[in-house]
This record gives sequence, C-alpha cells and structure tokens, in this order.
Amino acid sequence: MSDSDLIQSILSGNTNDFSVLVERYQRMIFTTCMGYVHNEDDANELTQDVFVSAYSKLRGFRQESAFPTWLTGIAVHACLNFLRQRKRRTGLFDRFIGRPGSDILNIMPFSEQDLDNPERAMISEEGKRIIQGALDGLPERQKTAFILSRYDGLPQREIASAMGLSEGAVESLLQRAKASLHKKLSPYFKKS
Amino acid sequence: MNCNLCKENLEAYLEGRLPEDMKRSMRTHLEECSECNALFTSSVLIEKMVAGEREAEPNPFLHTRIMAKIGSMQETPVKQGIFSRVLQPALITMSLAAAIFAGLEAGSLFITADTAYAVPEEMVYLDDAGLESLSLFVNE
Repeated sequence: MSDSDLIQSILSGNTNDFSVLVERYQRMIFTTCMGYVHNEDDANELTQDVFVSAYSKLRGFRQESAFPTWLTGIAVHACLNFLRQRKRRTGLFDRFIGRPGSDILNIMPFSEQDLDNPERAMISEEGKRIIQGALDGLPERQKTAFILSRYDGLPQREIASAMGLSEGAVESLLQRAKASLHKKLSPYFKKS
Repeated sequence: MNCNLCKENLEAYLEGRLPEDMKRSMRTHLEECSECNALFTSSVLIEKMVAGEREAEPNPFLHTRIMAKIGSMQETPVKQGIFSRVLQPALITMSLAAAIFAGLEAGSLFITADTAYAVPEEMVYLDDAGLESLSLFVNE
C-alpha cells in the first residue's frame, strides 16, 4: 500500500494505518534526529514527537511533496527547536569546544597506516565529541543540509524540497558546511 | 602533487577510486604536507563519526510508544473540526465568565450581620463588684 493510499485511509478514519507509516519511516527519522542531538534517548523522544505531530497535522498535508520529505521537514523543525531550547538552558559556554592543544593530538592518534586504509582508522570518544561540537556549531541551514545529506543520504533535490530551497542553494550550503568543518577541525590534527 | 590537486582528489582517494600511481602520489603528499594531512584526517573522522551515529538503532518499543501516544489522543485528525478549534475554547470561556458572574452575584447578596451585643440600659449601672465585695468571700 502506497503512502498516499495509507494517508487517505487514515483520514477516512482508519487511524491504525498510521502504524504502517511509523514502521516504514521511524528509522529514517531517528537517524535524522541523531544527527542533531547525538544522543539515542533524545533522538527517540524527538522521533516520537515528530510522528505525533505528523499525525495531528496530517489533514494539512497537501501531498505536494513525498510523505517522507514532509516528515523530514517536521523532524528538522523539531530538532532545531529542541537545540534552541537546550542552548537557552545550558548557555553558550557549554557549546564552546575549546582551542586545539597538544593533549588533543595525543588522544587522537592517526597512524600512517591509516593513510592507506582510512576505513580502519579508529575514532576516540574525545574525537567524537570534538567533531560533534564542530557540527553543532554550524549555522542551522548548513547543519541541516549536512545532516540530510550525510546522515539520511538524501539527494540534493530532496534536501532542497525539505528545506524549501533551490538545489543550487543546497549545493552552496553543503560546500560551506564542509569548508567550515574542515576549518574548525584541521587545527586539531595538524602535526607540528 | 601539490595541495590543490591533493584537495581535488581527496574524496576519490577516500573512496578508493584513484588509480594506483595517483594513490601513491597522494600518500606521499599526505605524509609530507601537514595541512593536507590534517584535512584528510578530519574528513576521515567526520565520516567515521557519522557512520557510527547512523548505526544507532531506535528503541525497540518506539513504535509501540508512538502508537500508544496517538491512541491516547482522543480525537482523530478527521474529527478535528470547527468544534475543537473554535467552539470548544469559546464554550470554556463562556462557562468561566458565567461562573465568575455567578460568584459576584452571590457575593453581593451577603449582608453583614449586626453581631454587636446590645447591653440593656439597666445593666449598664449595675456594679457587681460593689454589691459583692471580695472581702466578704475572703473573710468567710
């Protein structure tokens, strides 16, 4: 049964059909949320909120875009709101990822063998935290474009549809996000 | 190999799409150039971090929790019409206004009772202490 048929069925009163849509897209939405919050508990909560919100707004879905694209748009808004609230609660200092220092290089060894086999390279917990911090520090639109591209593997056309932008704008956001991440992270890995 | 060429081919190198001779030149350059090496390292680690988070699985009970939450929402999207959006809030507001009005009306009916004890005139001049002196009791 297609998404469109399921939606028609739900709107006609067969509310249990929404279960099929949840089953179909919960993993996708959870992954999107993980990209923003980097925490499974928060991602689960957000995924639940996204589906509940989608259910209550289903009448307003005009099917101008595909259902997963519409759902992704709801997830993006939910995650950005969550992060704004968290930022207000925790303050700016918690978001500060610090300046690169020699101790960070020591805890993130990257051997020369990794040059040949980058897929074997290991990433420490501290390394993850630094990269998550750099990603969190991106402007909202760059971060969204990056997450939808890398975490969800969406093509630029679908990212553009979910964000309400042109494909060219998405391409530009992705380039800027990539450049910004490298600029933030490269000093941590530069050998003196 | 220079830095610009290295940066151009970095993605292909990471994905293993370069021919062997190009791969060797890239490797040599990455060993010698700290800037390109840092770029390479950050690219690899970003991909690692993303891949790690993509592997995370949602809670196995997430689906059940979502459907339970939706089930607890009494009204379906189909039933949500003018009643829930306009009439229901209007009805609640009118009920509240009626309750406040009734409270004010009930309050205005309250009459202060005159509880002051009126002492009869003949009792005002009565001197109990003078009639029954304390010394009479003490001397007894």
